[in-house]
Amino acid sequence: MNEAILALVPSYGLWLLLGVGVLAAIGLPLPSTLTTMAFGVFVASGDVSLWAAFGVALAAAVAGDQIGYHIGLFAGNAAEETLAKKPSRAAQIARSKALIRRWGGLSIFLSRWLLSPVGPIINILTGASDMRWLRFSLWDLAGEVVWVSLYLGLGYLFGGNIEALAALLGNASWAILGAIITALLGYRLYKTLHKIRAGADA
Amino acid sequence: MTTLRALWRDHKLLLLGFVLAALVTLMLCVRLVVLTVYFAHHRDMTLEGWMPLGYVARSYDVDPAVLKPVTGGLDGINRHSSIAEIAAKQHRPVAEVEQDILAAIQARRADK
Repeated sequence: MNEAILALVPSYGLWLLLGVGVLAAIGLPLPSTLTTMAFGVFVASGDVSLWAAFGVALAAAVAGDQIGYHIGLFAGNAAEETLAKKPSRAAQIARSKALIRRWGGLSIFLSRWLLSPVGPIINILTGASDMRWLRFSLWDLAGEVVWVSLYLGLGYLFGGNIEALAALLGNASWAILGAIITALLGYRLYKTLHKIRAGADA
Repeated sequence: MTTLRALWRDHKLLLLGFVLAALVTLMLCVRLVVLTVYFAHHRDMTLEGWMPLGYVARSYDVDPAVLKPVTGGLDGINRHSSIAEIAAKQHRPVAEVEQDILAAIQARRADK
């Protein structure tokens, strides 16, 4: 799969970077980090200009994120109309929305580059939570600038075995995500233990 | 012990979730170490037909001029030409061109 995509780079050039970028940002399992790094190598070897690669990679990522956000916006409104008829559900939805309003900006920013595996799902959730379009777009743009710079830069600097490097970095993202989830659950567990002990002492 | 039993009785899902998340994270960390070691020892990317000569030079960290002999002085071949294009123009298999490229790179590295 990875090799097949890379083999298409010389024939389709920037169009491939655009297509893979948009589809991966929507959530399709395409190797956008690897493709972007390959273009970093192409920039270094003088086959592609830096600004063309940067512009196309950024436009692709932002366009894909916008599609995800709007899918969430329309699907979310439709789903909410049905779900919110039950008062308990309505309260739950309101709580989730408040949570996204509070942490939304940061989670959008980080899920663009550091925690990129959850990027597509965050786009849909943010759209469904009615976060303002401008706020989403600005955080998204900031995060994607970091992402594109990071991967183009890594390709430019390393140039060597980008396939192994992409696998390594992808795994690192998942490991960080796993550590965050473990820490959150661990914190809840700690709180619960505290309550049980307090109850036993009383 | 009683605390753990109470936890298991009333918060089974939370406890299982935590253990599962911790195990998966541990596995990912081990994998991260393995991939890092692999990357450190496999810095060269396997040559493929689609790679232009400039890309190969960049990838193997050698001056593009090192690969000049491989092109055989043919017109229309430069560092933007891919290995497959060169093979087609020279009427020989891609694998043979790849071997020549690797030989040129090895010779250069041996010189250093």
